[in-house]
Amino acid sequence: MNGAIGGYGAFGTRRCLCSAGLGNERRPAQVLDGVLACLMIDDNLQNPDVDDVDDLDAAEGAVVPPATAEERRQRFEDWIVPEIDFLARVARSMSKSAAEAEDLAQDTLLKAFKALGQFDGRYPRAWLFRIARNTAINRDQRSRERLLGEDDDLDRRPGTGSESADPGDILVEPIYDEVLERALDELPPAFRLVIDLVDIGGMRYQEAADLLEIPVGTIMSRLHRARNRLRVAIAGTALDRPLLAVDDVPTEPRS
Amino acid sequence: MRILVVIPGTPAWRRHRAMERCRASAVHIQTLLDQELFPSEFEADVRQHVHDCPPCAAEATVIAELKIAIVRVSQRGDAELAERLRRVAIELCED
Repeated sequence: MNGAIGGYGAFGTRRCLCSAGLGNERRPAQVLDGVLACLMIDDNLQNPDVDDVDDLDAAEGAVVPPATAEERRQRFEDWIVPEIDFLARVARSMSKSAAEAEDLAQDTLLKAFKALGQFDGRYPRAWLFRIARNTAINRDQRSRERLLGEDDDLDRRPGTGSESADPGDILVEPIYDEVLERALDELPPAFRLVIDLVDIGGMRYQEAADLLEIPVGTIMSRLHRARNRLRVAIAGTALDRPLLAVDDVPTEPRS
Repeated sequence: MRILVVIPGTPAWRRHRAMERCRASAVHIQTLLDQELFPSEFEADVRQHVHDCPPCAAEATVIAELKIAIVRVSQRGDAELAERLRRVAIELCED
Protein backbone atom coordinates (compact mmCIF):
# COMPACT_ATOMS: atom_id res chain seq x y z
CA MET A 1 0.00 0.00 0.00
CA ASN A 2 2.96 2.22 -0.31
CA GLY A 3 2.76 2.50 -4.04
CA ALA A 4 2.77 5.71 -5.95
CA ILE A 5 -0.66 7.11 -5.48
CA GLY A 6 -1.79 3.74 -4.42
CA GLY A 7 -4.70 3.67 -2.10
CA TYR A 8 -6.83 6.31 -3.67
CA GLY A 9 -9.49 3.82 -4.20
CA ALA A 10 -8.80 2.19 -0.90
CA PHE A 11 -8.30 4.85 1.67
CA GLY A 12 -11.97 4.91 2.44
CA THR A 13 -11.60 1.69 4.33
CA ARG A 14 -8.69 2.91 6.38
CA ARG A 15 -9.31 6.61 6.67
CA CYS A 16 -12.63 7.90 5.63
CA LEU A 17 -13.04 10.73 3.17
CA CYS A 18 -16.73 11.39 2.98
CA SER A 19 -17.81 12.32 -0.48
CA ALA A 20 -20.59 14.35 1.06
CA GLY A 21 -17.94 16.56 2.53
CA LEU A 22 -16.57 17.44 -0.85
CA GLY A 23 -19.69 18.74 -2.46
CA ASN A 24 -20.52 22.32 -3.16
CA GLU A 25 -23.45 22.53 -0.84
CA ARG A 26 -23.25 23.76 2.69
CA ARG A 27 -24.52 21.30 5.23
CA PRO A 28 -25.81 21.71 8.76
CA ALA A 29 -23.03 22.01 11.26
CA GLN A 30 -24.22 19.00 13.22
CA VAL A 31 -24.01 16.75 10.20
CA LEU A 32 -20.76 18.30 9.16
CA ASP A 33 -19.11 17.64 12.48
CA GLY A 34 -19.67 13.95 12.00
CA VAL A 35 -18.45 14.13 8.45
CA LEU A 36 -15.36 16.08 9.33
CA ALA A 37 -14.47 13.75 12.12
CA CYS A 38 -13.69 11.10 9.56
CA LEU A 39 -12.62 13.28 6.67
CA MET A 40 -9.06 12.16 6.33
CA ILE A 41 -6.65 11.53 3.55
CA ASP A 42 -3.92 9.00 3.16
CA ASP A 43 -0.76 10.67 4.31
CA ASN A 44 1.45 8.16 2.57
CA LEU A 45 0.91 10.17 -0.57
CA GLN A 46 3.09 13.16 0.08
CA ASN A 47 4.96 13.17 -3.18
CA PRO A 48 4.16 10.10 -5.14
CA ASP A 49 5.43 9.58 -8.60
CA VAL A 50 2.40 10.02 -10.76
CA ASP A 51 4.12 8.30 -13.62
CA ASP A 52 3.44 5.18 -11.64
CA VAL A 53 -0.24 5.86 -11.60
CA ASP A 54 -0.84 2.50 -13.19
CA ASP A 55 0.50 0.88 -10.06
CA LEU A 56 -2.49 1.91 -7.99
CA ASP A 57 -2.88 -0.62 -5.29
CA ALA A 58 -6.33 -1.85 -4.62
CA ALA A 59 -5.43 -4.10 -1.73
CA GLU A 60 -7.56 -2.40 0.88
CA GLY A 61 -10.59 -1.34 -1.07
CA ALA A 62 -13.35 -3.11 -2.83
CA VAL A 63 -11.94 -2.29 -6.22
CA VAL A 64 -13.37 -4.26 -9.08
CA PRO A 65 -11.46 -3.63 -12.28
CA PRO A 66 -13.69 -2.93 -15.24
CA ALA A 67 -14.29 -6.09 -17.16
CA THR A 68 -14.82 -4.42 -20.50
CA ALA A 69 -13.91 -1.25 -22.29
CA GLU A 70 -17.56 -0.31 -22.13
CA GLU A 71 -17.54 -0.64 -18.36
CA ARG A 72 -14.44 1.51 -18.14
CA ARG A 73 -16.12 4.18 -20.24
CA GLN A 74 -19.19 4.02 -18.06
CA ARG A 75 -17.14 4.48 -14.91
CA PHE A 76 -15.27 7.36 -16.46
CA GLU A 77 -18.51 9.07 -17.36
CA ASP A 78 -20.05 8.40 -13.96
CA TRP A 79 -17.12 9.28 -11.73
CA ILE A 80 -14.72 11.53 -13.56
CA VAL A 81 -16.68 13.56 -16.10
CA PRO A 82 -18.87 15.21 -13.40
CA GLU A 83 -15.67 16.51 -11.78
CA ILE A 84 -14.29 18.15 -14.91
CA ASP A 85 -15.27 21.65 -13.78
CA PHE A 86 -13.44 21.07 -10.51
CA LEU A 87 -10.43 19.72 -12.39
CA ALA A 88 -10.35 22.79 -14.61
CA ARG A 89 -10.33 25.04 -11.56
CA VAL A 90 -7.58 23.28 -9.68
CA ALA A 91 -5.48 22.95 -12.82
CA ARG A 92 -5.73 26.70 -13.27
CA SER A 93 -4.72 27.35 -9.71
CA MET A 94 -1.76 25.00 -9.95
CA SER A 95 -0.45 26.56 -13.14
CA LYS A 96 1.17 29.77 -14.13
CA SER A 97 -0.53 30.04 -17.48
CA ALA A 98 -3.62 28.87 -19.28
CA ALA A 99 -1.54 26.63 -21.52
CA GLU A 100 0.10 24.99 -18.53
CA ALA A 101 -3.30 24.51 -16.93
CA GLU A 102 -4.64 22.84 -20.02
CA ASP A 103 -1.68 20.48 -20.20
CA LEU A 104 -2.02 19.64 -16.53
CA ALA A 105 -5.74 19.04 -16.75
CA GLN A 106 -5.41 16.84 -19.83
CA ASP A 107 -2.57 14.84 -18.28
CA THR A 108 -4.64 14.36 -15.17
CA LEU A 109 -7.64 13.25 -17.16
CA LEU A 110 -5.56 10.78 -19.13
CA LYS A 111 -3.94 9.35 -16.01
CA ALA A 112 -7.30 9.05 -14.33
CA PHE A 113 -8.65 7.21 -17.34
CA LYS A 114 -5.72 4.81 -17.33
CA ALA A 115 -5.96 4.22 -13.59
CA LEU A 116 -9.71 3.66 -13.46
CA GLY A 117 -9.18 -0.04 -13.02
CA GLN A 118 -7.67 0.56 -9.62
CA PHE A 119 -10.18 3.13 -8.41
CA ASP A 120 -13.24 2.09 -6.46
CA GLY A 121 -15.29 5.16 -7.28
CA ARG A 122 -15.30 6.73 -3.86
CA TYR A 123 -14.35 10.37 -3.58
CA PRO A 124 -13.44 10.96 -7.23
CA ARG A 125 -12.85 14.65 -6.52
CA ALA A 126 -10.15 13.91 -3.98
CA TRP A 127 -8.70 11.26 -6.26
CA LEU A 128 -8.51 13.65 -9.21
CA PHE A 129 -7.08 16.37 -7.01
CA ARG A 130 -4.28 14.08 -5.90
CA ILE A 131 -3.42 13.07 -9.42
CA ALA A 132 -3.43 16.71 -10.54
CA ARG A 133 -1.29 17.83 -7.64
CA ASN A 134 1.26 15.09 -8.11
CA THR A 135 1.36 15.70 -11.83
CA ALA A 136 1.98 19.37 -11.13
CA ILE A 137 4.75 18.55 -8.66
CA ASN A 138 6.49 16.32 -11.16
CA ARG A 139 6.01 18.87 -13.91
CA ASP A 140 7.57 21.58 -11.78
CA GLN A 141 10.48 19.35 -10.88
CA ARG A 142 11.13 18.56 -14.52
CA SER A 143 10.77 22.22 -15.39
CA ARG A 144 13.32 23.20 -12.73
CA GLU A 145 15.75 20.58 -13.93
CA ARG A 146 15.33 21.79 -17.47
CA LEU A 147 15.87 25.39 -16.46
CA LEU A 148 18.96 24.52 -14.45
CA GLY A 149 20.40 22.92 -17.54
CA GLU A 150 19.64 25.94 -19.67
CA ASP A 151 20.79 28.81 -17.48
CA ASP A 152 22.65 30.40 -20.31
CA ASP A 153 19.53 30.63 -22.38
CA LEU A 154 17.57 32.55 -19.79
CA ASP A 155 18.96 35.93 -20.65
CA ARG A 156 18.14 35.44 -24.26
CA ARG A 157 14.66 34.15 -23.70
CA PRO A 158 12.04 36.73 -24.43
CA GLY A 159 9.34 37.44 -21.94
CA THR A 160 11.06 36.02 -18.88
CA GLY A 161 11.33 39.38 -17.21
CA SER A 162 8.46 41.20 -15.64
CA GLU A 163 5.51 41.08 -17.94
CA SER A 164 5.10 44.64 -19.02
CA ALA A 165 1.58 45.81 -19.40
CA ASP A 166 0.23 46.27 -22.86
CA PRO A 167 0.12 50.03 -23.53
CA GLY A 168 -3.45 49.53 -24.61
CA ASP A 169 -4.30 48.12 -21.21
CA ILE A 170 -3.12 51.24 -19.50
CA LEU A 171 -5.49 53.34 -21.52
CA VAL A 172 -8.47 51.12 -21.00
CA GLU A 173 -10.40 51.85 -17.86
CA PRO A 174 -9.94 48.97 -15.49
CA ILE A 175 -13.02 46.82 -15.23
CA TYR A 176 -13.62 45.06 -12.02
CA ASP A 177 -13.85 41.54 -13.37
CA GLU A 178 -10.80 41.87 -15.56
CA VAL A 179 -8.75 43.31 -12.77
CA LEU A 180 -9.94 40.65 -10.42
CA GLU A 181 -9.22 37.91 -12.93
CA ARG A 182 -5.70 39.17 -13.36
CA ALA A 183 -5.26 39.47 -9.62
CA LEU A 184 -6.44 35.90 -9.19
CA ASP A 185 -3.94 34.73 -11.78
CA GLU A 186 -1.19 36.58 -9.96
CA LEU A 187 -1.93 35.10 -6.57
CA PRO A 188 0.70 32.69 -5.30
CA PRO A 189 -0.45 29.14 -6.12
CA ALA A 190 -0.96 28.27 -2.45
CA PHE A 191 -3.33 31.23 -2.02
CA ARG A 192 -5.11 30.61 -5.29
CA LEU A 193 -5.70 27.01 -4.43
CA VAL A 194 -7.38 27.88 -1.15
CA ILE A 195 -9.57 30.45 -2.87
CA ASP A 196 -10.49 27.82 -5.45
CA LEU A 197 -11.36 25.21 -2.90
CA VAL A 198 -13.26 27.41 -0.45
CA ASP A 199 -14.72 30.30 -2.41
CA ILE A 200 -15.32 28.56 -5.71
CA GLY A 201 -15.52 24.94 -4.74
CA GLY A 202 -17.59 25.68 -1.66
CA MET A 203 -15.49 23.49 0.59
CA ARG A 204 -15.43 24.00 4.30
CA TYR A 205 -12.18 25.01 5.94
CA GLN A 206 -11.72 21.56 7.38
CA GLU A 207 -12.32 19.86 4.06
CA ALA A 208 -9.78 22.04 2.30
CA ALA A 209 -7.33 21.52 5.15
CA ASP A 210 -7.64 17.77 4.91
CA LEU A 211 -7.31 17.78 1.16
CA LEU A 212 -4.20 19.95 1.26
CA GLU A 213 -2.90 18.32 4.43
CA ILE A 214 -2.40 21.59 6.23
CA PRO A 215 -3.94 22.96 9.44
CA VAL A 216 -7.28 24.74 9.36
CA GLY A 217 -5.56 27.82 10.73
CA THR A 218 -3.35 27.91 7.67
CA ILE A 219 -6.39 27.71 5.43
CA MET A 220 -7.95 30.67 7.25
CA SER A 221 -4.75 32.64 7.15
CA ARG A 222 -4.22 32.03 3.44
CA LEU A 223 -7.83 32.91 2.70
CA HIS A 224 -7.61 36.19 4.55
CA ARG A 225 -4.30 37.10 2.98
CA ALA A 226 -5.47 36.11 -0.48
CA ARG A 227 -8.64 38.16 -0.18
CA ASN A 228 -6.73 41.12 1.12
CA ARG A 229 -4.38 40.88 -1.85
CA LEU A 230 -7.35 40.78 -4.18
CA ARG A 231 -8.83 43.82 -2.48
CA VAL A 232 -5.60 45.70 -2.88
CA ALA A 233 -5.49 44.67 -6.52
CA ILE A 234 -9.00 45.90 -7.25
CA ALA A 235 -8.38 49.24 -5.62
CA GLY A 236 -9.75 51.86 -7.95
CA THR A 237 -12.48 49.72 -9.43
CA ALA A 238 -16.18 49.98 -8.82
CA LEU A 239 -16.33 47.85 -5.72
CA ASP A 240 -13.28 49.27 -4.07
CA ARG A 241 -13.66 50.21 -0.47
CA PRO A 242 -10.99 50.70 2.15
CA LEU A 243 -10.08 47.87 4.45
CA LEU A 244 -11.60 48.19 7.88
CA ALA A 245 -9.45 50.53 9.91
CA VAL A 246 -9.54 51.63 13.49
CA ASP A 247 -10.43 55.12 12.30
CA ASP A 248 -13.65 53.70 10.96
CA VAL A 249 -14.84 52.83 14.40
CA PRO A 250 -17.85 54.90 15.35
CA THR A 251 -17.43 57.17 18.28
CA GLU A 252 -20.59 55.94 19.89
CA PRO A 253 -21.31 52.27 20.25
CA ARG A 254 -24.53 51.20 18.62
CA SER A 255 -24.85 47.78 20.09
CA MET B 1 4.05 49.50 28.75
CA ARG B 2 1.24 51.91 28.16
CA ILE B 3 -1.77 51.58 30.38
CA LEU B 4 -4.98 52.99 29.08
CA VAL B 5 -7.28 54.19 31.81
CA VAL B 6 -10.86 54.75 30.85
CA ILE B 7 -13.61 55.61 33.22
CA PRO B 8 -16.76 53.62 32.55
CA GLY B 9 -19.59 55.63 31.13
CA THR B 10 -17.43 58.33 29.60
CA PRO B 11 -17.20 58.98 25.84
CA ALA B 12 -13.61 57.68 25.88
CA TRP B 13 -14.78 54.49 27.48
CA ARG B 14 -17.53 54.06 24.85
CA ARG B 15 -15.05 54.70 22.05
CA HIS B 16 -12.62 52.22 23.50
CA ARG B 17 -15.30 49.61 23.92
CA ALA B 18 -16.53 50.08 20.34
CA MET B 19 -12.99 49.83 19.06
CA GLU B 20 -12.44 46.58 20.90
CA ARG B 21 -15.66 45.16 19.52
CA CYS B 22 -14.72 46.10 15.97
CA ARG B 23 -11.27 44.62 16.37
CA ALA B 24 -12.73 41.40 17.66
CA SER B 25 -15.37 41.27 14.95
CA ALA B 26 -13.04 42.17 12.10
CA VAL B 27 -11.13 38.97 12.64
CA HIS B 28 -14.29 36.95 12.37
CA ILE B 29 -16.19 38.67 9.58
CA GLN B 30 -14.69 36.49 6.85
CA THR B 31 -15.22 33.39 8.93
CA LEU B 32 -18.82 34.41 9.47
CA LEU B 33 -19.37 34.97 5.75
CA ASP B 34 -17.77 31.62 4.99
CA GLN B 35 -20.39 30.11 7.30
CA GLU B 36 -17.64 28.74 9.46
CA LEU B 37 -18.80 30.32 12.69
CA PHE B 38 -21.15 27.73 14.02
CA PRO B 39 -24.28 28.96 15.80
CA SER B 40 -23.37 30.04 19.31
CA GLU B 41 -23.56 33.03 21.56
CA PHE B 42 -20.29 34.25 20.12
CA GLU B 43 -21.52 33.88 16.55
CA ALA B 44 -24.67 35.78 17.48
CA ASP B 45 -22.56 38.55 19.02
CA VAL B 46 -20.45 38.90 15.90
CA ARG B 47 -23.50 38.82 13.65
CA GLN B 48 -25.25 41.46 15.77
CA HIS B 49 -22.19 43.67 15.79
CA VAL B 50 -21.78 43.44 12.01
CA HIS B 51 -25.44 44.34 11.70
CA ASP B 52 -25.18 47.34 13.98
CA CYS B 53 -21.74 48.73 13.17
CA PRO B 54 -21.52 50.55 9.80
CA PRO B 55 -17.77 50.03 9.21
CA CYS B 56 -18.04 46.33 10.00
CA ALA B 57 -21.16 46.06 7.86
CA ALA B 58 -19.28 47.72 5.01
CA GLU B 59 -16.40 45.33 5.49
CA ALA B 60 -18.78 42.39 5.38
CA THR B 61 -20.41 43.75 2.23
CA VAL B 62 -17.08 44.10 0.48
CA ILE B 63 -16.02 40.58 1.37
CA ALA B 64 -19.39 39.19 0.29
CA GLU B 65 -19.18 41.04 -3.02
CA LEU B 66 -15.63 39.85 -3.50
CA LYS B 67 -16.65 36.25 -2.91
CA ILE B 68 -19.43 36.52 -5.47
CA ALA B 69 -17.12 38.17 -7.98
CA ILE B 70 -14.46 35.50 -7.51
CA VAL B 71 -16.97 32.80 -8.36
CA ARG B 72 -18.26 34.76 -11.36
CA VAL B 73 -14.81 35.49 -12.74
CA SER B 74 -13.46 32.01 -12.16
CA GLN B 75 -16.38 30.28 -13.76
CA ARG B 76 -16.01 32.43 -16.83
CA GLY B 77 -12.32 31.66 -17.11
CA ASP B 78 -12.62 27.95 -16.47
CA ALA B 79 -15.64 27.28 -18.61
CA GLU B 80 -13.65 27.13 -21.83
CA LEU B 81 -11.05 24.83 -20.34
CA ALA B 82 -13.76 22.60 -18.89
CA GLU B 83 -15.42 22.42 -22.28
CA ARG B 84 -12.17 21.37 -23.94
CA LEU B 85 -11.64 18.77 -21.23
CA ARG B 86 -15.09 17.38 -21.88
CA ARG B 87 -14.14 16.94 -25.53
CA VAL B 88 -10.97 15.14 -24.45
CA ALA B 89 -13.05 12.94 -22.19
CA ILE B 90 -15.37 12.07 -25.07
CA GLU B 91 -12.38 11.20 -27.24
CA LEU B 92 -10.97 9.01 -24.49
CA CYS B 93 -14.25 7.21 -24.21
CA GLU B 94 -14.51 6.72 -27.95
CA ASP B 95 -10.99 5.37 -28.41
